[in-house]
Amino acid sequence: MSVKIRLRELLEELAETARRTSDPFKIDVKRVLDELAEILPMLKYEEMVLDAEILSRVVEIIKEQEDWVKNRSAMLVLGPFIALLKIASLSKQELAKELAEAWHPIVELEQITWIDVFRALNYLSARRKFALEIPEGKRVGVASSSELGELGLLSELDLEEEAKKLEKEIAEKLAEKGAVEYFEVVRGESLSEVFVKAYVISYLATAGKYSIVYDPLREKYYIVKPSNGDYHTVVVPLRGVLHSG
Amino acid sequence: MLGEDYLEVVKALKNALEPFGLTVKVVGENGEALSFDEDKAVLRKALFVVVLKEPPTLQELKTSGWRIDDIAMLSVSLLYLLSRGGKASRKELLDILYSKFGKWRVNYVVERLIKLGYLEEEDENIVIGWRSKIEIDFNKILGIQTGSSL
Repeated sequence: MSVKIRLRELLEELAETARRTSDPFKIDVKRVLDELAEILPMLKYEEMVLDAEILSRVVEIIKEQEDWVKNRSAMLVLGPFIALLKIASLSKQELAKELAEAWHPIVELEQITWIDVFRALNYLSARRKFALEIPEGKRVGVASSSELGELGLLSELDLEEEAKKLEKEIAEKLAEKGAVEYFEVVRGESLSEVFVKAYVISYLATAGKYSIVYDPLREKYYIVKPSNGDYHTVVVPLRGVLHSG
Repeated sequence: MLGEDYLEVVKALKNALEPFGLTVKVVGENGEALSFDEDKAVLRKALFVVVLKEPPTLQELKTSGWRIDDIAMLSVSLLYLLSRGGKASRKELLDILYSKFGKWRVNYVVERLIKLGYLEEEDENIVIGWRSKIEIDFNKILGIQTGSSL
């Protein structure tokens, strides 16, 4: 191979590697310089220009390597300091924003497919039609709440009163411990009492008065005060919790 | 099976995804970002994942089910772990999070972040998870300017 061709190849290799990567250390400067030193005695006058151009590229790369090392060493020294400073000084909103700006989430696809749509249509069309049978001579009417009460379908429970009672009970327990175990409050002598209490707490939590959180380590649900007005609730299964212990 | 020239197929996929604001990221065995021009032996063990090209806004993250508090907790966890070389004891990390957030929510969120792969458990320690390594630009979160890997 002629010296000129080899020099052109080296020049192209340098340019190509520099274009492909942002890491200047991907270029083996020592190998290039060794090769240039080897070729030098064989160079003709007109080939000196190519040699000089390669050297000029190598100098640029070394400069980039120097900047890279400076940058990395700054990161090693300053990184931990900056991290701790950010934790201490930024608000939750700012911390979230900092992360969001550096985040490139993996793309996930969650969507209903045509197969699911047809399966749902099949299910719906296979359902038996429900028709209310009205005995001869009777007519459909609206039952009053007192009639429903007589039939035992509507209790005379005062939900507002119940909510006040539970609020008081929870406030006392929260003052003591900071968090109340959910099932310490939601329990009762009967199934309906448990359900009513669960309903009332759900109402109070939805109104933002409490947060209901789950502690996976203890596998327990807790009622806590919302932090900074930001309340949160979770679904609590009532299965198996019927009577007070 | 993509065949020997699978890289060309992945590059074509990358080009096809770009107009949709997506890109293909190449990640090495240890979670480091790689380029398509790396050595073939290295790329053979690499993961190719489709990610958002531009970071999402907080509003977009909220609509995809993230709470601001939870994102902030991930932010604090990563910043703390980065300051400790990528690893810290569970207790230390939780204490930092307790100092900033409600105690009851912290345990729940940390468990969730572990399940999602953003954090990982290693004996008594918590380390930066595979998913954080892929999805999050650590230099950017530290505020250090370097060439972007995407």
